[in-house]
Amino acid sequence: MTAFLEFDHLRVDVPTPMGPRPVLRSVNLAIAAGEAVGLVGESGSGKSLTARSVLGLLPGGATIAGAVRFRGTDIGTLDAAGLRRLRSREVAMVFQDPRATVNPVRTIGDFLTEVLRERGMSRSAALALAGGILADIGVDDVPRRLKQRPYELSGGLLQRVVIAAALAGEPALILADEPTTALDVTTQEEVVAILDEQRRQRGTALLFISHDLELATAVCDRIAVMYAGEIVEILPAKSLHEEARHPYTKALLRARPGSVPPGERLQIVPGTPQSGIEAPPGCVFADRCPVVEADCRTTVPLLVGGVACHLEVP
Amino acid sequence: MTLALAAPLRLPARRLAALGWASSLAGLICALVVLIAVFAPWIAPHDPNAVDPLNAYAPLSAAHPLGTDDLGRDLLSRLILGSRTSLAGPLVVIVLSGATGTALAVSAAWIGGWFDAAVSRVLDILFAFPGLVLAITVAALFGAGFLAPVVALSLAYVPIIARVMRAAALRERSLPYVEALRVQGFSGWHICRRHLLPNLAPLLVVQAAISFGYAMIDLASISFLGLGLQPPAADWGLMIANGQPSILAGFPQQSIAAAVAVVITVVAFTVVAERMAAR
Amino acid sequence: MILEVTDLRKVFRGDFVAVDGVSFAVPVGGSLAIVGESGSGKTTCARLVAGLERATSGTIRLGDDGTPRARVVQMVFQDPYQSLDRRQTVAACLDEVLAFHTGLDRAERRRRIGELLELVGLDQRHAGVLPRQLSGGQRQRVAIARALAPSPRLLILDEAVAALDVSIQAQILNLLVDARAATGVGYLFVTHDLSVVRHVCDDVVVMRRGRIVESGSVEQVLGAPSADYTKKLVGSIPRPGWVPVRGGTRG
Repeated sequence: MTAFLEFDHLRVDVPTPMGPRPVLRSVNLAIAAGEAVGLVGESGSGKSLTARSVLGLLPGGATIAGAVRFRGTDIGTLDAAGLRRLRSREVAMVFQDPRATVNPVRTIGDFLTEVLRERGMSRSAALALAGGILADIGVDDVPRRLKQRPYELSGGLLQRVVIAAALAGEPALILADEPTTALDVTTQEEVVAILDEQRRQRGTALLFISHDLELATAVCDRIAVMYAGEIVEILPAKSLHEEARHPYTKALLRARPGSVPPGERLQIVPGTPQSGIEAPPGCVFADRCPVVEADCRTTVPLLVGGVACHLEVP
Repeated sequence: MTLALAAPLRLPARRLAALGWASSLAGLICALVVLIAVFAPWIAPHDPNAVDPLNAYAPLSAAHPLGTDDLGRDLLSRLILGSRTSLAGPLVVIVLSGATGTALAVSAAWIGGWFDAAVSRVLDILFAFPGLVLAITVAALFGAGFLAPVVALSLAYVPIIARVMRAAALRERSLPYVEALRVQGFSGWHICRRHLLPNLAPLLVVQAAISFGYAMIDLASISFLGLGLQPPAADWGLMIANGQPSILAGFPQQSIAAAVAVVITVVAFTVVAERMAAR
Repeated sequence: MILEVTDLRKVFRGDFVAVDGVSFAVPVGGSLAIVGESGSGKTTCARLVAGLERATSGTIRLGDDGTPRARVVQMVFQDPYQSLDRRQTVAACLDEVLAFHTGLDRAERRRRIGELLELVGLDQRHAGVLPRQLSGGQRQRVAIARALAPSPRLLILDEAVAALDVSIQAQILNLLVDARAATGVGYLFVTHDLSVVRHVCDDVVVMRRGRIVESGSVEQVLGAPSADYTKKLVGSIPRPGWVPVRGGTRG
């Protein structure tokens, strides 16, 4: 059986002054239809790039090895028309900043119906459908909203519009790249609740990218932790706190201020987050790992049983 | 990732390489022209003002590599000596307009409010005058020569520099490090002088280098119109003008040589400026 | 009290009331958090205290009158990438501040720079480098060292850890706890992140739309909030076992 979405030894190299260097080293991840997977990590981990690779959105000059397969089709083999079809019908993407996503001079109604009209739906039918989704996700005064322009809406409301637009195309997969990072925390709750509820109702799969472990845990079935262009651990969201085994996952969980009594020292990871370009040749986390051994620096640990760590393999 | 990716994505390697040799050549030409201007009296093979009527309109020869003009003066020597005023004029223009424009721009951006509004309006009015027309008017009023057109042109270039610098100063001023310095208790004068200006300097240099080419053409035009330096001074603009009758006589060397010198110098300075701006 | 703010009001452009009748105080060596969402007026409060804005009405009393403001209160900003002059080395940045505020000679200043770097977890290797050669976390350490250079008695931290990665944020929070213990500096911590507040602050003021909604000790306000808005705010923080709810109304 072919997986719904599969990253198979995905490696992405970008040109640097020292020649091509990997930003993604070897990403292996399979997502089932209707499943929600959280991709978490710090800056440079490659989590955004992993999501973007699904739509073939890679930086200029990047070279790919391995494959991203969507319903069995290798994205890398698609021609321009195939990619367009994938982007407009099968996969929707929600970015961090809704203001940068929505054309500022068009109305909300235009924005929501653009894809539907492209598919040949009549203007009134498309507006009715978009209005229905807006109402579903708790936007009030829908007829007026459809005539408004982006600057008349708050950031939270605009991000709900962006999510409505993503849902309107009835995609099989939504890629959400830090969709609530630019929002206030109370608005964030509202937006992720809507995203969670709607994708469950529609059976849409979700790849949720976040730097916030707790947030990802709340809306996803599984969590994949990335560091320096590799997935270092995958585990069910429910058991993240109890069963995390990779030293990096543990370090992330302990680094949050809430993890120790107030005023006590947080357990810290020395150094700064690395990208795939800077990480050491063996285990990507070896430079910062508190329990590093000689073997870690030379041999790449494989992702076995949900964790890529030499010390976790019997 | 953002940082790591930013560097290689900035410019395609192809364009960078193309820019590379062109700007190296341009830089070399600029250096050469400046050196020629500095050492002109020692390089020139003949006295540029030595009249030799018997030798007028001499063809290209070993003794006179570019020939001679209507009075039998060596054209190469006049071209070499002419580089001095032809470079000094634009240089004074960019120094004067650069200093005035930057001072106005930074103080307008820093003080803001009515002062900024007043400065901006005055600059707008000045901007409405074509620089050349202003310079011609001033030269007509105060007499031809080196100083009057140069000062007038400097004035005309102030708004060009000031507009760019004001926008940059406003952007710079809004950066948090400036607020951090204000919280430290530093005066506006200190912050502008020690932090704002050094950070704006690279942009000013680029602006000045771009303006240099324009100023050179404008000053050559003024000389050509007879409102700049007066004969027998050797100056490229003047040489183009003085060569006119000779063209009719079938000896276009003087105008062509001077015009080529202007074009090459302007192009070289502009290419170097563009290259600096790209960085 | 090192800071006493009474009935502070700030009106922008004639009609927008950013801060409306706000009063709070920070005891010597204390740590007060101002929390709230965008548009709550928390950052305006910080800028008023720092002297970057002028209050429309109300009073701000900083320590003993007579000491220049800059030697009483200093500020660390959110964006570590833009809060340092990009053309100035770390040592030059600290030296400029020390030369301005202290009567130390060159050798003494150099020694003090070493002490400041050590205090924020950097060393002499970092003294000669430009900001662009440092990571975001290291830059924020330099910004903290610069703010501590005049030996202020109150440090305003305006979302000072919000832009940092989780593992770096932990390093900086530890540093802030240590620096407070070492120097006795008080904190005015402006943030939207309640878990950070729990970690480093004694007292908290919750703001919404320019007004104070609730204030008191961190334990009391975040542990057993009484205002509806505070309850909503506390309830919307992702944490283990958290389920996001639409409408965000919970008891």
